[in-house]
Amino acid sequence: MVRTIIKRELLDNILSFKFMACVLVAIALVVISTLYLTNDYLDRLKDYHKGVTNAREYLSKIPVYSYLEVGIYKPPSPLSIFVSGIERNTGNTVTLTHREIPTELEGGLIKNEFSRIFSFFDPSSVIVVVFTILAILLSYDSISGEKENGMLSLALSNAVPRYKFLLGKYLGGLLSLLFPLSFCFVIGILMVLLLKGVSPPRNFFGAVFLSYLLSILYLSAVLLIGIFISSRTKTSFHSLIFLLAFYLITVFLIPLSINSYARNMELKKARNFEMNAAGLVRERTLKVAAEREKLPVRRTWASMAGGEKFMLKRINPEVTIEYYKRYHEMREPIVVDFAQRIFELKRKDLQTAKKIQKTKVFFLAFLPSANFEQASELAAETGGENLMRFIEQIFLYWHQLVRYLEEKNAFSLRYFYPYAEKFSPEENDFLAKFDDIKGGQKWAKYKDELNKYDKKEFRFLDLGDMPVFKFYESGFAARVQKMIFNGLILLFYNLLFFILAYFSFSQYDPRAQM
Amino acid sequence: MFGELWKRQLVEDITSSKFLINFVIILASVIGFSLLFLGHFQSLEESYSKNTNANDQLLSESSKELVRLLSAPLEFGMKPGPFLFISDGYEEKIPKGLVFRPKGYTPDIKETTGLKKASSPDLSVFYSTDLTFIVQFLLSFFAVLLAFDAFTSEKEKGTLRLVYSNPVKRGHLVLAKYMSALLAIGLPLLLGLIIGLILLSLSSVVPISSGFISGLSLFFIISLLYLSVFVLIGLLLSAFSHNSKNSLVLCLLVWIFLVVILPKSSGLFLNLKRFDVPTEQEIEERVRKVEREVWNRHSHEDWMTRSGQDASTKLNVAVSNEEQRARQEVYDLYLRKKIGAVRILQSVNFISPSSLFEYSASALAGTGLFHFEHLWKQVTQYRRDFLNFFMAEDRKDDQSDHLYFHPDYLSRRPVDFNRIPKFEEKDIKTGERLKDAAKYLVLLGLYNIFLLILVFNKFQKYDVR
Repeated sequence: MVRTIIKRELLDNILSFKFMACVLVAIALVVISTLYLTNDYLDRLKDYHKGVTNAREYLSKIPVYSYLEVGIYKPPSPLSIFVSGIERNTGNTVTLTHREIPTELEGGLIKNEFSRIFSFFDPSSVIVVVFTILAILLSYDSISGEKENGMLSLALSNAVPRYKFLLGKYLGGLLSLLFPLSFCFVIGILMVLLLKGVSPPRNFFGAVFLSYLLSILYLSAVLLIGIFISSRTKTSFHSLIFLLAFYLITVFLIPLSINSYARNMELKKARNFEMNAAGLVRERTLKVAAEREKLPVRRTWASMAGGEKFMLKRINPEVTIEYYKRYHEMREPIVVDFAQRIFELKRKDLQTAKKIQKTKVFFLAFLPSANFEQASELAAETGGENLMRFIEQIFLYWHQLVRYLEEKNAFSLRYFYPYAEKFSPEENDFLAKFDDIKGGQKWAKYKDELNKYDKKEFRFLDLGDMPVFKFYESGFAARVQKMIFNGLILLFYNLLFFILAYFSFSQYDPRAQM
Repeated sequence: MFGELWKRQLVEDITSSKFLINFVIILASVIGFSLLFLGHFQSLEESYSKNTNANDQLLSESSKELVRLLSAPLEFGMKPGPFLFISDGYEEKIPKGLVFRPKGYTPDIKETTGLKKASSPDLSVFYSTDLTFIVQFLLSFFAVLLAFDAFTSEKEKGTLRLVYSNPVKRGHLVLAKYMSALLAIGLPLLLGLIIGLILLSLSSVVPISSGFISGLSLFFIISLLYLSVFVLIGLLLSAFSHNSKNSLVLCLLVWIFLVVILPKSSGLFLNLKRFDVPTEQEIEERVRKVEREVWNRHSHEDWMTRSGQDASTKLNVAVSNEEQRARQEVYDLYLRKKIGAVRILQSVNFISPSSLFEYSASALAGTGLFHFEHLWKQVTQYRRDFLNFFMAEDRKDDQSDHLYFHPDYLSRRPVDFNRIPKFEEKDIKTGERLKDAAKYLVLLGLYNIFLLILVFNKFQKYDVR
């Protein structure tokens, strides 16, 4: 019996104008957005590969440790084609040195800072915006509409139990939603599979499956809410107005307000770094200056260096080399220490932000649409949570890097001097010429000769045993674990509204009141 | 007769359940958004005044020696105002302001470059909590809902035929429907605006000026212009279809298309080569290349700095200034290019009345891109004033060589901090706001006229049976 009702419902739905119109719009949007996002993904992938190659090349030609900058790139996730998240906007790279622990990514494909005002659709937002409307349109008259055209009393007079009728309506609606939904997912998967030179990552199918499951749960919840409302209202027009208001409020209005509030809180509370960073930087400068006074050797002429990247020329008085050696042996550990202290400030902010985000996600989880969006971001790992994890892993890697540098005794002579420590007799003779020179003015006179010595004995660092950064994405189980709360809430909504609809329908007066 | 029709329609509209729901939602969201705005505005104001203080401190530290004024890195952020409540213009997503960037010893003190990074907003959020959202989204939705069954439901009930058995012109009926829907949608908006204004003025946080109130009333007018488009779309689709259900589905889809999808679609063209701009590093590289070109042009000349009176020193200073100008040109060019690219992309959205409304509201409020452009103009003017002041001060010192702007040959006397011109962003005049908004408003008006003609035309041939 249920099967007959489902079949009738399915046919009814699929042949209706609303269904065709919505499905056409949805499919067109999904095709356009996957096309665009696939291209975008490929661009980002190219950017990523280019960055990684450049970083590797750079590492192969480092003369001194002060030049050591490890470029770390975040690989783009092919799942961003389905759920674009914030991945496209946050940049994809950090340049790591022992001087600073970064908490923000840079670069990425956004070159035009003003273009951030444009945002657009990914398939998951098509589900939220268009499929929700479709689910509402399919369910708003499921009970009241049947009553209005008199079918309800007819159907119920055929000894159909009410729960079977309800189940038939629900399953029929769900099945008619499943067709276009599955179609959209298939398009997306095909796009990724057909990409040239891209093999879907290990967790790809698992994550897509999770997204699919979530979409079904979500749409089924909307459908049940629609049926419930339809069984509570006298006319289908009222039920529709109510549902559309519900759509506006839960899909746009409340998520927007909660997000906006959370952002305000973040701006207000996460200001530890902003308030205290300047003080720490000053403290560092003062400490370095004080320690410098204690050094037994004084700086002499010819410091041809500036900034943090620092390399000394070959020909320099021994006392100058000695000075810089001692200076950096003193300075760099202080710099490392302060990098950690500054990071602690940022970390407090990050933790505050994380807490606020968590609270936000918790509250949003109670709105079906926002819940779905959050959960699919968690499943696809393209949201803020993933970014945080990336930054935490960078922090761990920074410690490895500093330990490596300390083991290599990097903050000493090799920090700024890529030559052998002792001068040859020839060089000593040459140096003697400079004894009477002060200041840089006469430097020009001996420039060519000096450069000749620079070419000799110049050695690049061997960084073969340096630890390599690798970003670990979560496995399937971890993803499930992360979105389980959201999934359970959606499931709970399904059950709740089914039961509510059942009770409401069992007391429903099927007679049309005209 | 027209009056009767109109009155009847209005009563029907206002007593309907959709009007009630609309009313409640609008009021609730206005109140909610005002409270959110008050909280947000406070932190904006705080960081702005902190920035101003930092600039002042820097200037007062540098005022000990006149020449040091040239290397003070000043940062000018966009001043937050109550207009942000009308339209946020996605101000948080674009760069926050402009910087005078000093570069150590070279005399390149006057450039306005280095865009401050936008604060990291929640990038996943599509919209902002401002009045524009309420009108653009919620009210347009209800405008469509009010109008979608204007003809079809009357036909279904049979009243349409009844009306026509009286000597009623069809045009009058359409006009009555249109006017009453507009009024039914305008009333909650007006009330919402008044409540919002009262809430903002009750708290002492937001300074309410008469300019803001006139801005708010202008906003009301353009909102009506925008909402009228959706009322007309509802009427048109209602005249196209023969039952309310189809008309509703059509209306919903058109609404989604115009309000949700189209305004977000021009980003699709962002990857086109045409809109390509270089990255920050690439711009820096180009700047360095331009610098080198300038110096290479003078490579055969002697431009060593010796003393303030030598011809070679003077040449050095002249070349430096030339280099500085060339560099500034590069920065300006790319800034203009970036903004230009966004403007062209926005014009793709002109198909959607929703975007037109968004842009006109943003222009009227002087926020977002408009704000940035006005700030840029003002900072350029300030730069001129600042340098004029500097030169005037320098001329008073006869120990200075008056070689602008080489730090080694300028006055080192202290200067009175109070006399240094300080930058303060001026509010944009209402005339300028209107000028910015005019383009979008004209297009919106054309939309209205076009739709109005279509509706009249279509309804003349409408089968009332």
